[in-house]
Amino acid sequence: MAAAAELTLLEKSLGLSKGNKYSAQGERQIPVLQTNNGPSLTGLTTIATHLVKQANKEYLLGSTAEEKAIVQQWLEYRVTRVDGQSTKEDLRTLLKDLNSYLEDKVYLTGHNFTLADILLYYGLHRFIVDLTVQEKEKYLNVSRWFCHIQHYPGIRQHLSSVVFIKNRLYTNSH
Amino acid sequence: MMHCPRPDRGRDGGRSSRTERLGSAVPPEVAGNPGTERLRSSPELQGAVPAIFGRRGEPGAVACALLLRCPQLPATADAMGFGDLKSPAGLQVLNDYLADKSYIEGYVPSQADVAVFEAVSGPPPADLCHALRWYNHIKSYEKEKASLPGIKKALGRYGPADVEDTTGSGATDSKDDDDIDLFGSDDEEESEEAKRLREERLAQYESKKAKKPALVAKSSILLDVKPWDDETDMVKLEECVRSIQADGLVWGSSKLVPVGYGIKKLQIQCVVEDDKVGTDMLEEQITAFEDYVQSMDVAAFNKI
Repeated sequence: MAAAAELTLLEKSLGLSKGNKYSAQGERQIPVLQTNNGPSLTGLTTIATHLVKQANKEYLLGSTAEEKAIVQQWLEYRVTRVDGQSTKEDLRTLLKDLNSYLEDKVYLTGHNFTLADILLYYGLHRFIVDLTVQEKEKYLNVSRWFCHIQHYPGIRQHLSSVVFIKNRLYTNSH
Repeated sequence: MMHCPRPDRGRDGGRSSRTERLGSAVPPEVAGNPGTERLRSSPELQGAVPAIFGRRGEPGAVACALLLRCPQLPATADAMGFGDLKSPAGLQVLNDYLADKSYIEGYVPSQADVAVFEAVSGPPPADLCHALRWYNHIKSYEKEKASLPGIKKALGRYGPADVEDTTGSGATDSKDDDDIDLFGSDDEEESEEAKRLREERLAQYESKKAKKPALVAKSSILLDVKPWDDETDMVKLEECVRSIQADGLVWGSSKLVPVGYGIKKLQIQCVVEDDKVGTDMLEEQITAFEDYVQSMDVAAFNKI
């Protein structure tokens, strides 16, 4: 998904009505937002954080100091590991790490829904859509988290809904 | 543990059909179901009394409460639950159930989670990682427990479809929670009242069972299967679709409907038993024929 499209999706999910215009910079198409009476902002996570503050939903950035740090950690993860991957091997490692991380957490920060969940969902969508049934079962915690986020009101919008079947076909015990 | 696919639990369709079926104090339809086979062959059930789950406040519920004082009551095919949530086996069921779900019902915390949370006696052991994850998460909602959406129902209403709920309060008798109260009992002897009521209920059930034929929830689905282009061999495509076999799935008539540019889509009818086959399974299997099938849609879905 192009960065500009993703930021537009994020705006809608945050309830912001005005559509910003984003330009792209450089060969990796990093998004740039020109603010009205300030400097231009460059970078997906920077702009996303700015939008969250504009929408008055600072809780999405975490409430305690630790939670805020974790949110930032996962935003960084999104841009470096998820967007930066190139091979199938990268994807598998990523999903494996994520799967073990999410074993005891409902959301990325633990118990609360944050911007990290939103951006990681948008970032991973194009990969999860292509997973086979067996892979979805293998990364069960990622599937559970993904299914949960895609049902969160206002997040999925026009993105396709990924089907996770309820029957366990490949593994009968966990 | 294999769970039978159920029509969209947690979303509107599933919920309304579930309350429809269990709405009145009418005994659930078990005749001819695999569930009754289990009932008859199970050695520990003597004089098997079917559990009749009525809603709280209805006359059925009182009888239900008295009936459920007997341990090892067989559940019907419609009942749910996690087994005995105070035992390791019950927690294992809960763990498997929660492996791919964040909450007991739906995608937000609700009274369903509160009900099951209160039935569990403490944090599950660390090897049941999904149950433990869920437990800690619901614990974090401790203060907002009362304001979570939904209505707290009896434990038998939650969980995988083919497991009965046998949670008793055992030694710990908590009078705080109405749900636990239903099951908790230090009184081993059944009063005459309870016996009489039970006999009466049995007679009622028998007579109703004799009148009603076996009812299995079925649906008629009309599927649109679209090929890649007008060169695709539609006969082969239809063969592939019809080759999908499943228990509870019967293929019906089909026809080719032109959609323009010489492309025809295959419209095929099938009748499925709701408990056994779901549209997502059909979708997976049909779209697996990548050479012929571009996509599949449900054109119509009617309950029979």
